[in-house]
Amino acid sequence: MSTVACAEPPSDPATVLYDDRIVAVEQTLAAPNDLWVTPEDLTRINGFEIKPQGVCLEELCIPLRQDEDSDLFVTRRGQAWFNVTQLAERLDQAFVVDQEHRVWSFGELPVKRTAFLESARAPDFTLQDRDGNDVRLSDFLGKKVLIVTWASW
Amino acid sequence: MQEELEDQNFVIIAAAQDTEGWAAAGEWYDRAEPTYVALVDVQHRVSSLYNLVNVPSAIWVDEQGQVVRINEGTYTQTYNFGTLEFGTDEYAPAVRDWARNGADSEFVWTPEEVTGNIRSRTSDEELAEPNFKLGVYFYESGDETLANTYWERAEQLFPDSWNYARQDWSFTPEEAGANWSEKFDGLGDRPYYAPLDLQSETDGR
Repeated sequence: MSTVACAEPPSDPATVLYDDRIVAVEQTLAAPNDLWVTPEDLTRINGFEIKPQGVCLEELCIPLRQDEDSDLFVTRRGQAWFNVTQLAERLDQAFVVDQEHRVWSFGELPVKRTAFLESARAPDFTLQDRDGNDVRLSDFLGKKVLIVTWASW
Repeated sequence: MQEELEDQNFVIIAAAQDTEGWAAAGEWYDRAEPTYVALVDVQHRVSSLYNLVNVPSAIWVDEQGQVVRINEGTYTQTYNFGTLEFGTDEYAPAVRDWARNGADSEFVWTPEEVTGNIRSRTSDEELAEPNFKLGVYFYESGDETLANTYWERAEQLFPDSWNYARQDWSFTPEEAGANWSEKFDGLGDRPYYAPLDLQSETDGR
């Protein structure tokens, strides 16, 4: 086993801001700059799932060896860990970390922008109404929708 | 407008780009007694997804979920405050025309026109968003100093975003006017809002 920081036992919790979600992560693998989480937490954070063919979000799949350690995936004491920040680097996704409070904040996934930028497909979003109900743009498919942004400021 | 056009299979979604949520946007919605879908967008998510930099902005989404028009400065009328005039009387009739005529409206853009009118983002501008979201997170956690640090970083990374700048200034209202004037003067010959571009195809565009 290598003697890098990854050999340390699981360390501090972390908070991840992704899309409009705030995801609390109980366990991470100690690493100086990267965010390593369990496969379950990976899916809670960004929807990616580890499958036989790789790490996948819908049709997008990035090949992933699961029988040996890499910069994306390691196994420690039988527990699999996935490097969320390295995935972001691969996908050219912007992110910022506040190290002191262990809060990672991710920007838009560039591949998700493609359908909008190349074929004018309206990106879906979910926001709450005053009663706290989720309202999705896609709820209104079949109607003409005028989306207006405004602000009180 | 929503009530007038409801039978046209048409719906209006208003998304307030307000970090303070309903506390900030609620009273405005109360005054408007909306018949449209009234939402707040604490993280400026819609602006992020649609690459918007100012308010008001508006997006037309057709029955199939395709964007068919996207504009800034989409006021419903012209407003006069003494000598100050802002807004436009041109936009609302275009919306009515689309609600009634759908794909046959002369104001509907082709997919190429839409994609040509979407702002692209630099990598710095993409990096502004997670910084802004960190600011919102720390603001909601009660750490306004740290919130300001990240908001200022977002503004530096994305100077074209009036949304980020004005949201930040909203927490120091006594300085907001002067801040706005200074940034506005910095535009030089560039427009505050991109032109509405409401000329129809047949007008020789």
